[in-house]
Amino acid sequence: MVDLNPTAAATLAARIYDVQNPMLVDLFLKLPYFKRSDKSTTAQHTHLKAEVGGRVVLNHEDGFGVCAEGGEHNKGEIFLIFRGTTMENKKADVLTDARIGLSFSSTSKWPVHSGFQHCFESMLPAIRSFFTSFKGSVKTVHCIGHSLGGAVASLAADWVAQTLKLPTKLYTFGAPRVGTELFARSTTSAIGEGNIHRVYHRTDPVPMVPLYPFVHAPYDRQGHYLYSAHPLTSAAAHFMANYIASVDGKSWQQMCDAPDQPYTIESAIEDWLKSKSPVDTSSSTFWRWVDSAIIYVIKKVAMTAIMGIQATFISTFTVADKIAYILAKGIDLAENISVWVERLMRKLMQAIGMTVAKNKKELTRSLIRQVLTRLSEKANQHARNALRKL
Amino acid sequence: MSLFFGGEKKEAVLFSPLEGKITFEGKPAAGAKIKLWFAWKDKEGESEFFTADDQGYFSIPTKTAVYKQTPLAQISIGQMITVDFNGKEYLIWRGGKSSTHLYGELGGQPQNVTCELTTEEMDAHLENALIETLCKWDQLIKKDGK
Repeated sequence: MVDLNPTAAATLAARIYDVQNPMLVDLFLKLPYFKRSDKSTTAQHTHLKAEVGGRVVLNHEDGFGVCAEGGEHNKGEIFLIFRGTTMENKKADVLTDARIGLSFSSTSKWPVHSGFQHCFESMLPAIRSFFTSFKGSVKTVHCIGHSLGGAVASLAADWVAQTLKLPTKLYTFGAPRVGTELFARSTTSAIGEGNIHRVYHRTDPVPMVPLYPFVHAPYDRQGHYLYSAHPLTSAAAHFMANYIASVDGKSWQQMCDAPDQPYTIESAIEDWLKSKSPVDTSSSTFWRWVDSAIIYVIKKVAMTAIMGIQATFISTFTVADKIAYILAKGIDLAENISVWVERLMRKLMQAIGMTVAKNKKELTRSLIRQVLTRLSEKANQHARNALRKL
Repeated sequence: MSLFFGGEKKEAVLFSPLEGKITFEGKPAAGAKIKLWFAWKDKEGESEFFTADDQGYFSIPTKTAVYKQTPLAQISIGQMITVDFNGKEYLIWRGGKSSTHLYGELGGQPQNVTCELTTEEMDAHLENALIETLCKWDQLIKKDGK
């Protein structure tokens, strides 16, 4: 299977933003990856029309992606390239809409982000007919995108790997989390861990949302983590132009897994939960700790109470409702479990500026839900505000 | 606190200045009517008109827009230049870009631009944006306009 290098993938993810109107698709297809010496045969391509926006926000018709066969140097390779949000369709704030819940993916039936799924589904008929009418054998399908485009590319890659069973490669830059753990596991095994290139800057706020139970694929891997000296999350870290600069001339190996972060080590999470140090929500490390800590405590409770975590998330309730349910259960469990719920809630309440509960009796399910909802809003608002800072 | 800092306005270059000479079969296209179209916030976009002088020289100044930096959205700008000469319309420039700095289209300022209307094939410039034009130039002067 052919692998695009980081610069090629980043260039395609960036250039797709230049396709301001459908008439420019042919110009996009003059990029070297699609180049043919014989001018009479143009590559087969379909310009994807998509509804951008969650069902509730805005349904805007806009050119959103390109589906094309590679040129003479990329024969048998199919490119699915998706664009993120542009100024023209900016009202569709799918990325950080806290009201958006979970729906089922088109393939594996595991829960994924409703907004991203809706976006992908609106393009699926066009993608499907592209593959149906495609003549020739497919060597590799490259799915590429930045930001929201990366989320859609992830769903497309999952569909291609699971439904068409074609060799698939996924390349995302600054993409948000697309689904829950079951989806991440299922898509990782369908596409193959080594075929997923998730690139992100340490301080890019977008890959930090939505909060748990959303997780990234490849499951349990750090992805291609690009170090940035800046300690705070920033808008600049999200922009595609800066991803191009960061990956320039590097190989995938040179951008391999980050030096092991402490966020997944249980004792480190416990230390963070126990620490009395003040919390700083504008720090990128804070959100990584929050995520790890929520997962850690939920698993602790679930293991003791013998609950199936994933099963609980698949329903019409909001994510906050579900986590609150699990954590509230934890409060009633033995001291060695409930103390972790208490510590977690103390940290979270501190982060959102609420008066910290004095004892575990105060930690009712409705209070926990309120804290989680506000925390989620804060994380989203934080992602939004970080991007306004440029 | 940095968290609530935001909503800043930013200037975007929608079209970088372009100066040059329009010719028709090698002779100056005197009085050619030039139409510049650009779009970024809607599909319709806007148009401006210019006229080439007796020697075929034309000058299109910078087009900018001040916009409120919108979270999670990149800017995408479409451009097109058509020339009306002797009752016929010629497409001389079209493309799209997502950078906002000066000369982001080509990665530099083109020097000694000539646009021969009878040129059959446009040149594609895809290093910095998606631009296709029948105009040619001697060189690009790189500027740090970021």
